[in-house]
Amino acid sequence: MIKFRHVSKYYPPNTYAVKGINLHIQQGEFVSIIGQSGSGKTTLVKLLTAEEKVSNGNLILGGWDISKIYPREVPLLRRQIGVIFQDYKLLKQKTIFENIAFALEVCGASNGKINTVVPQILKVVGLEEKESRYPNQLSGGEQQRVAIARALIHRPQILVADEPTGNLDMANTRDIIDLLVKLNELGTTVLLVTHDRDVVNLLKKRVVVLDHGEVVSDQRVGRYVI
Amino acid sequence: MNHSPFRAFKYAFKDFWRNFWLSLVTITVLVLALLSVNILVSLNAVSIKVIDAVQDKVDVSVFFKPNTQQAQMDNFQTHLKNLPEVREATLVPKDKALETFKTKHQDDTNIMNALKELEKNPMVDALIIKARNIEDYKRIIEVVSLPENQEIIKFQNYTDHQKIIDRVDSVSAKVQKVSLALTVIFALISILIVFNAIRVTIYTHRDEIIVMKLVGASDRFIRAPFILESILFSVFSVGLAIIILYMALGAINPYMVSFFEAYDFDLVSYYNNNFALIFGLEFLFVLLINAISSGIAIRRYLKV
Repeated sequence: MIKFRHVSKYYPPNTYAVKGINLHIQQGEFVSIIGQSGSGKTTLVKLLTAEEKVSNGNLILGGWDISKIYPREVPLLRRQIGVIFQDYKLLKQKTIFENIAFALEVCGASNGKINTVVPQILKVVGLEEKESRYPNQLSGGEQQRVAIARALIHRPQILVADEPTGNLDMANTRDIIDLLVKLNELGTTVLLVTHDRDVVNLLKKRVVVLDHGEVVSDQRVGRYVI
Repeated sequence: MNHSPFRAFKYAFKDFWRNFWLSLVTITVLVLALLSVNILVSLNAVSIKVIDAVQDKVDVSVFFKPNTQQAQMDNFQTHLKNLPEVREATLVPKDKALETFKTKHQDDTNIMNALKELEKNPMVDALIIKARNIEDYKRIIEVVSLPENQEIIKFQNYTDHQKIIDRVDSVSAKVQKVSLALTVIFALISILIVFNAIRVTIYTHRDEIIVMKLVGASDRFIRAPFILESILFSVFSVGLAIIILYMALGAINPYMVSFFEAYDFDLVSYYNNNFALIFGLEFLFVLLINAISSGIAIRRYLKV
């Protein structure tokens, strides 16, 4: 599903964010990427979403080598991956419904499809009563659920979560992680970037450890060992 | 079916109303820029009218010899009227000239007594010539000064007026140059002000633009609502500027009409007669600046 083949990202003159990453993530896997600040976790996410360009190596996503992606193809790539961020990245001037609908509108979906699909996804994340509210009228956990709903609206094969629980309390963290696990059980490949020890240890899933831009550990059933 | 144009309009309208205060501030800046241009347009119109009024006072008078026949005077008048430079050439018979003189000096007993002493009319027939433009007097004077015309012409007063004519011509040319320079400067200042106002508006949306890119929106999909919103700004700002301008003109126009009483000029009529040209150009100007500013300002945030 996702293949990193000797992937490096460096910034001139000689700063490597990630170096020689070799990683293969199968379809349907749940992988936690952990590491200290500056280890390259967020860079991996940015390479996957083409926010940053691969300097060396190949990054293959579902058969598509995105290390050589053209700028006009980037929107297409981003519609195929679901991404959620630590700061939710919701559109503050749009309602919850409009935030999720926006992800369909960029693809040219009809109003009929939007009016059918969006309420369904809101029900999945438990926010069907709050579709007319704005992001600032929701709690952190609710905002992150909206972000997840938006990420899922295209039924992506891959969901990338970059520190999704960073701004949340324990209860909301548990809810979000439970949701991610549930999605994984339904077949979505989940890449969770986190430095939440408790979350990683609770999951008992594959853990990849990054240190100074390199993979130093890759365990099928891992624990937070930094 | 491509929903993008409709959605772009929907986003533009929604963004305009949901960020009402920001929209209002942007429109206010645009209105102020437009009003400053309109003040210049008004001053330009007034200055042109003032110059026309001064120029209208200037004329060349040709006084005929006493034995000149009516037919000769008529021919000379016709010849001058046929010149493209001549706007008017009016014959003033000596009897009428005397009546006018008496009326003008009726309170001056010395002059009136002197006239009574004279047995015959001291006036001569005259031809009053007005040019289309101040610079045309040179050509008219050349024609009047031709040797063949000296048979019937006793004297002309153009020498006395020469300096006035030259001065008015010079001042008029300078006023037009200054007016043009000021218009260009105001236009440039307006462009900078509008560009900055739009940049600020786009800046407040920077996070939103970045999020849209991350969600998979294309550059065109993101850009279109902002360009359309700039059209909304243009429509509202020009409309508001027109309303404010006409309100101001309503207040000052009575004074303007009174000042230019003899010349049938008022600013309201000027704007009415040139409505499509003035406000059409202003709308296009504001629209162009807004759209280009939006395009440039948004570009940096599309690089995500």
